[in-house]
Amino acid sequence: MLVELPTVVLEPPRVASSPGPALRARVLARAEPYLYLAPALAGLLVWVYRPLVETFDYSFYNWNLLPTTPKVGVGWHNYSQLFHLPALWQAVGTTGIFMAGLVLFGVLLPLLIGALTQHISPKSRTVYRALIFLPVLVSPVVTATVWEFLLAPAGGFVDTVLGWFGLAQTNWLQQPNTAKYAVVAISGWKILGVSVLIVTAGLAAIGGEYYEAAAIDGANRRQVFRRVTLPLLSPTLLFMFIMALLLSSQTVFPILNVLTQGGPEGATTDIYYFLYQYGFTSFNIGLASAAAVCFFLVFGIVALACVRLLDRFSFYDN
Amino acid sequence: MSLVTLPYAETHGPIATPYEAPEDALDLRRRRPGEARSAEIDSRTWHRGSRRSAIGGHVVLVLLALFTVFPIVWMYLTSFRPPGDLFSSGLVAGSLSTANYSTAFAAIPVGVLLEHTVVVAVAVSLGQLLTSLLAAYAFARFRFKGRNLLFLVFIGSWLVPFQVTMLPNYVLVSRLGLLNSLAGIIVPQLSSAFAVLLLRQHLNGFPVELLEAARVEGQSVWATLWTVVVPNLGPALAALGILLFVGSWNEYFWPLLVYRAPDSVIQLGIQGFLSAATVNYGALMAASGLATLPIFAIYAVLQRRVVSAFVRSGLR
Repeated sequence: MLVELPTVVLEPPRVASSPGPALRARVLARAEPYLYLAPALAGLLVWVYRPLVETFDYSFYNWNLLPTTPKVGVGWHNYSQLFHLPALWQAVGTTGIFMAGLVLFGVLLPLLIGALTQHISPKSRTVYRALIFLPVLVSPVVTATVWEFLLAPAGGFVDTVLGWFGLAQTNWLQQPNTAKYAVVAISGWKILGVSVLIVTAGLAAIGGEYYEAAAIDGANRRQVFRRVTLPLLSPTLLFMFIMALLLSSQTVFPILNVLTQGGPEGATTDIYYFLYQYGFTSFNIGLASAAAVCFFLVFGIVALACVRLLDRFSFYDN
Repeated sequence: MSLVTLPYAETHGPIATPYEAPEDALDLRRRRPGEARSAEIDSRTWHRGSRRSAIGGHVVLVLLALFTVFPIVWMYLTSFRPPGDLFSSGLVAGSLSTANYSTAFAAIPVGVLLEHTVVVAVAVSLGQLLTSLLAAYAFARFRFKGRNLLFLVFIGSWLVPFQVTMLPNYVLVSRLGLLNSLAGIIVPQLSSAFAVLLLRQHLNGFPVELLEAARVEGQSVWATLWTVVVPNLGPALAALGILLFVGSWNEYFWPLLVYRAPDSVIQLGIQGFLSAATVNYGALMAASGLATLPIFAIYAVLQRRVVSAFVRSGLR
């Protein structure tokens, strides 16, 4: 990825004619690009890179976030404590389930739906598009409240429907197992529609000449899908996969905080919620920062691996 | 980071003025110049007789549409039910009532919350539009020392999850005395790599002749930005503006950390209903419906632009 298109240089270095004011003009011209970059860059340095370094720093201290309490250096103690917490490993497992769920709702199901609906005329497609797009506009908090109501025990819509079929009613968000999958399904609801649209866009972008060639070669529909559609769609799919993995925490966090607060029994605590609780509920800043550092490193490795993959896969259809 | 290898990035290749992706791109269907509808027609003739699969496709899409729309419809229906009749499962309420809305307005300061949310969303989107426009313009227009390194600084910030930086950022906001203020929500969000990368991508396909012409006419770099680049970058700026506005309207996590008073922003206000011992679902649905309404209003007016902005950026 990160395709660098050649940029045309339009601003040749200005030639100074007289030394005095020209020097100032030259300095100014030299500084010009940096001046344009300064506001955005300052924002990133202050609000992304500075805190990143500070998080590393905090991870070696014992501190409770109060300005009046001194920080006590504890070396690597936070890290060793972190790795001995059973809750951490539970959170890692839960994160795995959430990520798998988001890949299901954000990549696999959309691919299936996209393939099944490939032959619908663009005209009727626009009607569906208008509707299935809606959930992505609904805020995570509202998503959570609406689903809390739908899943409400004793009279909630989901239980009512299950009752029609004589199925047992469940307190979805209060049981460790169902709560986990309820969170996945709710996040899935939010991203499914727009993911289908992304796949559809990717499918529509595949040039007709490929299908023509496949037709001449006498390929059947399954072959066309496997040998033509899938490879040409792979950059889109990989991109969606990466976004599903990397943005999973942002997607899931508000739903967790509104609906389950990580419970019951920590069943819905993923690594980011774990971090949040240690930081802002128990105010164990050192431990939370050590966790943040570890997650950042793992996240970075995964992200870089994904970028590599995307680079390798994106040579199609150029 | 997104925005880069998607197949439809090609639509942003050099296009003659006016610099706008062809309308059909909004139909999410790419057409190369001179290619003229071939994809559509060919895949149709090729799959002639696939009527059955079209019907199957409609069934799938109807089910999907029901699944996606039902919770939203249910939210609004419930909000208008009489408070004693909330769990009725009839599609049409027996009698309409605005009692839930009165309750919601009495329980939380809806007006103030909406006003604060508007201020935050407008400030964040305008701020990010401005900082990212300047930065993207610098990358597109100049070649300078450290250009690639600085670009990496922007891309690299994508690899830093919000949760990793939130503690030190909270400490800084608190030291600046910005806790429980709108500035505390806004200031840390005034610049983002995402916006810079998205605009940079659009500027890469910007017709060079236009910039060249401005230079020949002796226009300064600054003036060229506002008289040539911005007017021609309208669609891209609008798309980015939509994404930023919706994103910051719906933002929850950061305000949750730095603005915990009852009069913060609407997303936090809604949550207040859930902390009560028995949840008043009617008022909750009314407040949730109100919080969503402005975004739906934008969607009703700018539907194609909104869809295209989200689908192209890959944001979910």
